[in-house]
Amino acid sequence: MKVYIVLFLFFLVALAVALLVPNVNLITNRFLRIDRSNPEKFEPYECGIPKIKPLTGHYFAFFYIVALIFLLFDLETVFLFPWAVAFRELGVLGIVEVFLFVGILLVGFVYAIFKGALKWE
Amino acid sequence: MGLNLKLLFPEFFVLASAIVGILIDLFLPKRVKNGFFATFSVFILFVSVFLVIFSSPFVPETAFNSFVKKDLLTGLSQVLILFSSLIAVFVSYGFLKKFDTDYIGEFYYTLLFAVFGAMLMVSANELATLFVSLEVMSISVYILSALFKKDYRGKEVALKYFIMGSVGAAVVVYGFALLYGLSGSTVYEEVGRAISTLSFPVLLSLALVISGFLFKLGAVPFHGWTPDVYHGAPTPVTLFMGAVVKIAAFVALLKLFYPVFLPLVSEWGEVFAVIGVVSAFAGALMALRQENVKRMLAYSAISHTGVVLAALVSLPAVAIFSVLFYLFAYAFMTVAAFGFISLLTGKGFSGENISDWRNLYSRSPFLALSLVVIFMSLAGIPPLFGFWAKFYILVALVKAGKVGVAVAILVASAISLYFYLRPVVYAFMKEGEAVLPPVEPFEFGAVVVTVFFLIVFGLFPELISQVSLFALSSFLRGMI
Amino acid sequence: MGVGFLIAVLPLVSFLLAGFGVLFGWKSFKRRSHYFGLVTVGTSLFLSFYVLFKVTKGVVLTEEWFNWVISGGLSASFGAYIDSLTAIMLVVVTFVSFFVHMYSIGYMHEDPGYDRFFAYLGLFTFSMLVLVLSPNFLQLFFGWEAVGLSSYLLIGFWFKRKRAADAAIKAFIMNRIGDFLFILGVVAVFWVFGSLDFHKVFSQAGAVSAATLSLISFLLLGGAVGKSAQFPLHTWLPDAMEGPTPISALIHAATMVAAGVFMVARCSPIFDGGYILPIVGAIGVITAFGAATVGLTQFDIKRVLAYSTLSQLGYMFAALGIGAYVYAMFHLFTHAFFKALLFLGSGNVIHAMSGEQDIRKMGGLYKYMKITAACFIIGTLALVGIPPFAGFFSKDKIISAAYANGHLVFWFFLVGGALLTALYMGRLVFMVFFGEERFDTREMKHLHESPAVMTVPLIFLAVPSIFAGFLGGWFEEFLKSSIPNHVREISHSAELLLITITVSLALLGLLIAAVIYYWKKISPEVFTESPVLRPIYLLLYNKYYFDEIYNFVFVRGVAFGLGRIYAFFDKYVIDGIVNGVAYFTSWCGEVLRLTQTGVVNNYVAYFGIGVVTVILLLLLV
Repeated sequence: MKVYIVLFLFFLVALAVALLVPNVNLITNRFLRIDRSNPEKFEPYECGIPKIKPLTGHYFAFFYIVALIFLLFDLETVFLFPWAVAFRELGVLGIVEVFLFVGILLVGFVYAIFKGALKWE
Repeated sequence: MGLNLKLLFPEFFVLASAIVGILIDLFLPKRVKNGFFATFSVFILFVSVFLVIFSSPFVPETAFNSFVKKDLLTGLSQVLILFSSLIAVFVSYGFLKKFDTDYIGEFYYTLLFAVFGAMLMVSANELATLFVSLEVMSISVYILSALFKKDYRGKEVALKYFIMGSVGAAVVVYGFALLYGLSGSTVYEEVGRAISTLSFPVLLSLALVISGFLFKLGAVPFHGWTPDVYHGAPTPVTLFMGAVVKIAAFVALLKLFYPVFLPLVSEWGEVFAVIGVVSAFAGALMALRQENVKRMLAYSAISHTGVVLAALVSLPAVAIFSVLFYLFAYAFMTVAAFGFISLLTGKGFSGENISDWRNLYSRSPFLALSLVVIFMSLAGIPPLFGFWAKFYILVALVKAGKVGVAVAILVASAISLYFYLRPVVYAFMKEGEAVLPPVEPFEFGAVVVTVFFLIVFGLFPELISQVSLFALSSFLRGMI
Repeated sequence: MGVGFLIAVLPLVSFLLAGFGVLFGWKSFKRRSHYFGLVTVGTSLFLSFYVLFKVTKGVVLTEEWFNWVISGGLSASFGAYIDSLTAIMLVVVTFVSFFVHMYSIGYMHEDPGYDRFFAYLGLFTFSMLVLVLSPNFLQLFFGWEAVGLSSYLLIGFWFKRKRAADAAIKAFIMNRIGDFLFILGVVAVFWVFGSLDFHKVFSQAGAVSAATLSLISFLLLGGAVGKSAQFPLHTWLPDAMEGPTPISALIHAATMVAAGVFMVARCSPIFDGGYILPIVGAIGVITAFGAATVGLTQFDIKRVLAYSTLSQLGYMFAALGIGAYVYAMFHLFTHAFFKALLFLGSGNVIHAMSGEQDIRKMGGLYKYMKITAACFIIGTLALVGIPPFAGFFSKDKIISAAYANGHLVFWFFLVGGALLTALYMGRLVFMVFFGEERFDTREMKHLHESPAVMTVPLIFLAVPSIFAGFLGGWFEEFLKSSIPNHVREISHSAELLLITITVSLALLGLLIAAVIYYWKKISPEVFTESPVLRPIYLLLYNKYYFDEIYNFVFVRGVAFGLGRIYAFFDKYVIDGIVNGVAYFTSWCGEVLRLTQTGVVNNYVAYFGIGVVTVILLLLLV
C-alpha cells in the first residue's frame, strides 16, 4: 500500500513541477528578456533558411494505419495463447468463447479490407 | 454466482446488432444507408426497450460471477438511456440529411456501441466492468464527434475530449487500483467489506474515484472540456453526450458509492455538496453571457450537474430517489433542447446562436412555444417537469437539514433564470428575420414528443415519482 | 369535480380553442374567437351567481379535482374551496371578465392579433379563477404565477413596441421580487405547519409563536406587495398601461392586482397572529397618499387612472392593516366595478381620439360621446366617494374604521387622500369632457360615440357602480362567516361627523378642480411655476423619481456593476483561469496562447488541481 502512496505523492510533486517550471520560466523570461522581435524571429528555423511551403499541409499518414492494424491483430492473437494453455479445463464453453472472439476479430478484419485499409496506394 | 447469461440479453442484443451493422454497412450503397440504418437503429433500440422491461428483475440478480448486478434502478435507467438514444437517432437522421459525411453506417453503429457501453455501465457491479464499459461508451462518443466532413471543430473536439478522457480514465483507474490493493477484489460487495474508516489509503482512492466521476460529469474543477466539447460536437452527438453519458455516469455513481462507500457517506456527501454548489453557481454565472446556445447549454449542464451532486448530501434513500427523478427530467429536457437546436440548424443556416432565433414566433408559433416549454422547464418553472425535479431535490435537502445548500441552489437557479429567458425573449420580442431551414419531419416529431412529455410529466409528476420509488425500493433491497 | 371545476375550466376551453386557432393559423377561428370567450365566461358568470346563492345559505363547497401525491407527506390537491370570500371574488372576476370580453370585440376589432388577444384573456380568466378557488397554498401559488404570466403576455401584447416590451419585462421583474418572497413564505408555511392546506394551516395557526407567524406573514406580504403594486414595488403598474385598455380594466384595475388583498384576507389567521399588520397598514397608507399626489400631475389619461388604482389598492391595504378585512374586501368589490368602468370609458375616449392619450389634447368631449361621458362621470363620483355611489360606502367604512381603531395618523392621510382623489379625478373629467376643444380639427371627423358593443358594457358596469354600496350591510354579515373584521364600535354621532368631513373634503376637491379647470379662475401654472411649489410639482410629476432611483441603484448599480464584473470575468477569468491557466500563461508569452494544445494542457492542469481539492475536502470534512 505504501508504495502506492509514495507513487501518488510523486505524482503530485511532478504535477507541481510541471505546472511551476514553464510558467516561472516564461514569467521571468518576460521580464528579463530584451525585446527585439522581428519577423524572422517567428520563423520555425531561425538560422536563416527560408521555409519552402506553409506548415499547414497534410502529410502521409497511411503508414501509421497499417502499423496500427498490425498491432491490433497481433496483440489480439496473443489472447489466444492463454486459452490454448488452459484448453482442457475450459471445455466447450471455452471453445464457444474463442469462436466468438475470433468472429468479432474477423468482422474487424473484413471491415479493414473493405475500407481499403490494407491497400497501399 | 454463475454466468446467468440471460440477464444480460438486452446488452448482448444491442452489441450483436452493432456488429451486424458493421457487416451490413460494407455492402450497402451510400444513398440508402441513412434511411436503412436509422430504421435499423430505431428497431434495435425499440426492441431493446421491451427486452429491458421484461428482463429487469425486482429482486436484484447477478450475472458473470457478480460482475454484473441488475435491479430496477438499472432497468429504469436503461429505459431512459434507450429513450434518449431513440430521440438521438431520430435527430441524427435529419442531421445526416443536412450535413454530409462518408461515415453514415459508422455513425449509427458507433452510436449503438455507445448505447451498449452505457447500458453495461449502469449494470456493472465490479470495478473493471465499470471501467471497460465506461471506456466503450467514451471512445464511441469520441469517434462520433469526428465523423462529419469539413467539420474541423468536431475533429478538434474529438481529440480534445479524447485527451481529457484519457486523463480522467487514468485517475479513475488509479483509484480502482488502490481499492483493489485494499480489498483484494474488485467486486463491489467485497470492496465494501474492506472499507470502514477513512484511513489515508481509503481517502486517496476515494478522492481519485470521485475525481474521475466528477470529470465524466463535468463538475466544476473538472469541467474545462464541457463547453468546448458540447459546443463543437455535432448537435445529435451533443444530445447523446448530454443525456446518455450523464445518466450512465450518475447511475453508475449511485451504484458504486452507496454499496461500497456507505460507511463514509457523510464525508463524500459533503464533498459532493461543496463541489455541487460551486458547480451550480459557476455554471449559472458563466452561462450568463453566452451567445451560442449550445455553449450556454453546456454551462447550464454544469449547473444542473451541480444541483444533482448537491442532492447526494441528503439522506441516502431520499437522495437516490431525487437524483433518479432529476435524471429523468434532465434527460428529457436535454434531449428536447438539443433536438430543438438541431431542428433549427441546416446547411447555410446556423441555428446555434441566440440571435438566429430572433422573432422565431412569427415564423413558427408552434416552435416558439416549444422553445418556451423547453427553456422554462430547464429553468424550473412550474408546472413543468423541470420544476418537480428541482423541487424534490430541495425537499430532500431540507429534510436532511441542509437548508444552506438548498438556499444556495435556489439562488443559483434564480441566476440561471436570466439566461434561460434570453432565448425566449429573442424568439418573441426582437425584430428580425428568423430563417428556418426546411423542417425535417423526424426531428420535428422527436422534439414534439419530448415537449409533450415535459408538459405531461409536469402536470402528473407522480407518474415518474412512483416509478422512481419502485426502482429505489428494488435497489435498496440489493443493499441489505 | 363539480361546479367550481366548471367555472374555472370553461375559460380554459376558450383559451385552448382560440390558442389552437392562433397556432395553426385557422382563419375561420380568427374572426370568431370572441364567441368562445363570451360563451364560456358567460356560463362561468351564470354558475358563479348560482354558487353565490348556494353559499348565502351558509354552505361551504369543497371540491377535489385531482390529487398530487408528492413524497414525504406532502400531498397537494387541486380543488376548490368556496366560502363567502371566494364566492364574492368569483362573481367579481367573471362579471368584469365577461364585460371586458364583450368590450374587446369592439376595441380590438382591427388588431391583427385579435384571436391571440382572446386566447390570452381566456388564459387570464382561468388563472384568476384557479387562484381564487384554491384550497391550499400550492394551488394559490400556481394561480399566482399563472396570472403573472398572462399579465406579462398581455402587457407585452403589442410586443413590437419597445415601450410595451419594456413594460412587460419591468412588470415581470418587479413581480419576481415579490414572488420570490412569496414562495419562501409558502415553503415556510410547509415547514412550520407540515401542510399546505388552508384549513389545516389556519386551524393550527393559534399554536404557533407570534414571531414565526410574523416571519411567514412578512414573506407572504412580499408577494402581495409585488402583485398589488404597493410601495415600494409599485412602479410596474403605471408602465403596465402600455397594454391594451381592456386589459388595464380587467387585470390592472379590477382583478389581478386585487389578488394581493384577497390573499392577505384569506390568510387573515396568519396575519392576525403576527406583528406585521401595522406594516401592511403603513404600506397601504403610503401608497394611498403618495400615488394620489402623483396622480395630480400626470397627463396621460390611463396613467392618471393607474395612479388612482394604486391609491385605491393602498386604501385596501390600509384596511387590512387595521384589521378590517371585510372592509378591504368590500372596497375591492366596489372598486372592481367602477374602476373597470373608468378604464373602459377611457378606452372609448382613446378610441375616439384615434389613440391619443394626452389629456392636454382633449376637452369638450361631452357633446360628442354622451353615454361614455355619463358613465365616466358616474365612475368618477363613485371613486371620489360621493353618496350614494358605491365608492362612498366602501371608502368611508375604511376611513371610519381607521379612526375607530385609533390609527389617527392613518386616518389623517386617508382623508387627505380622499381630498386628492377628488382633485385629480375632477381635473381629469373637466379636462377631458368639458372646456374648450384642444384637439386637431383633423381628428374631429372620426370623433364619434363608440359602437354599442363598447357602450353596453359601460352601462352594465355603471349599475353596480351606483348601487353596489347599498349591499354593504349584507356584505358584512355574509363575509363574516369566512374572515374576521376587527373594528371597534364608535358612537353614531362621531361616525356622522367623520362622514361629513370626508364627503365635504371630497366635494371641496371637486370644487377646487372645477375652479381651476372648468371656470379657470386660477391657472394651474400658479402652482407649477411658483418658485416654492415648483420643486414639489417636479417631484410629483416625476413620480418621486422612483424609476430613476431604481434604475440608478438596481439597474445601473447592480446590473451594470455585475455587468462590469462579468465583463471583467469574461476578459480575465473565462479566457484565463476557467479555460485553464491559458490566459495566465499567454499573458507571459503570447505565442503559447495561440496553440490549442496549450488549452488542453491547462485543462489537465486544472484536473490535477481538482484532484488535490477533492483530497483536501475529504481531509477537512
